[in-house]
Amino acid sequence: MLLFAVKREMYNKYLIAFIIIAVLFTFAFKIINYLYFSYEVAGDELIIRKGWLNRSKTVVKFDKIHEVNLNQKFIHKIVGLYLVNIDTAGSASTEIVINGIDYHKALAFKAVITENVSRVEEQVEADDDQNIAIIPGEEVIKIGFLSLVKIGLTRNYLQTFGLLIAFSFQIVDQVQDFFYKGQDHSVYDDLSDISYQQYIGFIGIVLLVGVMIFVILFNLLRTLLTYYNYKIVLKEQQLTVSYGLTDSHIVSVPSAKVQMFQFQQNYFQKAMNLYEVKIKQVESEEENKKKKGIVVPGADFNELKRIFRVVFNMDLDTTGNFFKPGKGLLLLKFIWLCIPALIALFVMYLTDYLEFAWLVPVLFLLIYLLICIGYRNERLVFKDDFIILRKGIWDLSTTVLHIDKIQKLSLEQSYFQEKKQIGSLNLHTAAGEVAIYYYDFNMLRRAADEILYKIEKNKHSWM
Amino acid sequence: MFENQVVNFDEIPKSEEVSFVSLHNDYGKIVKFNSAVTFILGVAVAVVLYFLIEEAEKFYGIATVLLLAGLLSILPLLSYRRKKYAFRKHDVLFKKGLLYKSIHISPYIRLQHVIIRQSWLAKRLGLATLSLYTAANNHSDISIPGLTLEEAERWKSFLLNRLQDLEDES
Repeated sequence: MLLFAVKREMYNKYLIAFIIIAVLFTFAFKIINYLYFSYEVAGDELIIRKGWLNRSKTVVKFDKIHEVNLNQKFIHKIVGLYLVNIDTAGSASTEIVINGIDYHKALAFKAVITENVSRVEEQVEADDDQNIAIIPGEEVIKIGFLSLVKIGLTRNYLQTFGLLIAFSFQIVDQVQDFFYKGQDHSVYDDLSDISYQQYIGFIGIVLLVGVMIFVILFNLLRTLLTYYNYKIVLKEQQLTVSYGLTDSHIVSVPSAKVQMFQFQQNYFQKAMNLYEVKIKQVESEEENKKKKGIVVPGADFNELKRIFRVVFNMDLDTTGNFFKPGKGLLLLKFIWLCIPALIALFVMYLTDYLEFAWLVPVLFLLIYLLICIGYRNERLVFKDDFIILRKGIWDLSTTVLHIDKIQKLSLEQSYFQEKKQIGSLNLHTAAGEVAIYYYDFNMLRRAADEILYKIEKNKHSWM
Repeated sequence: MFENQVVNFDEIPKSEEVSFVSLHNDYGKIVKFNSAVTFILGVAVAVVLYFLIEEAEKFYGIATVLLLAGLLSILPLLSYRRKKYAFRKHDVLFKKGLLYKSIHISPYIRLQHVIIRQSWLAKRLGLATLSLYTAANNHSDISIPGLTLEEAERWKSFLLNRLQDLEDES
């Protein structure tokens, strides 16, 4: 017994010693990594050396660099340092990270890499209030606190709702673990009992309103935290964006590297003349979770036009002759919608819940109404070298795709569509796919031929 | 920066009028072999289910498995003859599909790299697959199966030459 205890103590001592050594080693490695890390700008190349025993040297040419991001996590903010992420073209995953550069150097770095000019000195001399230094001749768009509140109140309901559902399941599960452990009935039984007893009752309404208010407030808070102090600097051929309260980001994107331009608006935002603008860049395959590009949470129509001008050197114009999907689409969706409705009725019949059968046609009509609204909203415009596709039910989103950014295209037609001369055209780009579904096939074929003709004749590069 | 010359519509080449080339006859053997493997696997799963489950309802499951295996093995047999390709001066076209027809078109100027692949059966038959990669997401790229290895290599060098030419021109 005693022996065992002694042994145990010894064992504990070893464990503690082991942990201490491990911690020391990690420290030592971190410090060695830090000491042996160096970066250098030589001519038009960025050279990064790292490693003590395994030395590595990375050389990147400036024109292969897509995007330079300056990020500050909370800790960085306290110390006043920046994390620089550099995305390169070519191999998808090799992104260069330089952790811990002070503000002046980071900005100078960004300027040197993204535009290769000698104005850096001047820029670094400028103020030190954590903002981008402004050079005359640049345009700046700021989003004030008030408009951010407006934006926060009106955007991304669906996304937040999804998050909320995921969270609430987790909360319910926690409750189950805590209070109902070892009992026969689960929390779900109690919940369904309560909701069954008064399922149109007072509690339901209070719960619904509460959830709605919570979604809106949560959204507001999230928007305020992420996009606090949002600022876009428009230079010739270059967009630079800075934002963030706890974590701050400075992102700049050269306009030639923009792959897709999207803006969206829902009915509330329409009333307030607000657009959410998404500027998409090349998506790397391995890290799809990391979205690249710029999101402008709110811009009015004039600002949208100015941003568009910087990116494409052209005026935004979405008017003109438009095409719509074939009318048969409504019939097709009607038939598709019948399948889940019939299944639901069948299940109700089997489980003797037929008193709720009235719910099925009501839901059916509601969803079909939404589909019809979506159909009414959809339109396709070919304008100069742009393909403009607008679609959406609540959030009306417009995708503007330049022909030069198309990598590959495919024309598709099913056996049933053949007789009706209907088909679809998919445009594959480095930032995702644009699907033009259920349109007149002859028109699509002509459009595809014309797109190919333009790409092959102009021979513009895509970035 | 952007040119936008007026074009007479008849000048634009039509992808409809391209004459396509069918795949090599021996490609059928590969498809048949794959179908056979799929079907045998399906039958094996059905047999395992038969001996594993006791209840009488098992026949529904077994029927579904057999039906699925049958479909998965017959559909490629019917549709492989529809796979056709064509190389034009500026782009490559690949056509496929029985009930759901599609034509994939990739301009050479957007190609990133070209790869020749061979499975062991294709190697025995002297066939190869030519895959063409663009910067778009990889799973949507064109790969042309059922070329002889010689054809595949010649097309590859043709493509690489064209890429070089296009690069020199622009």
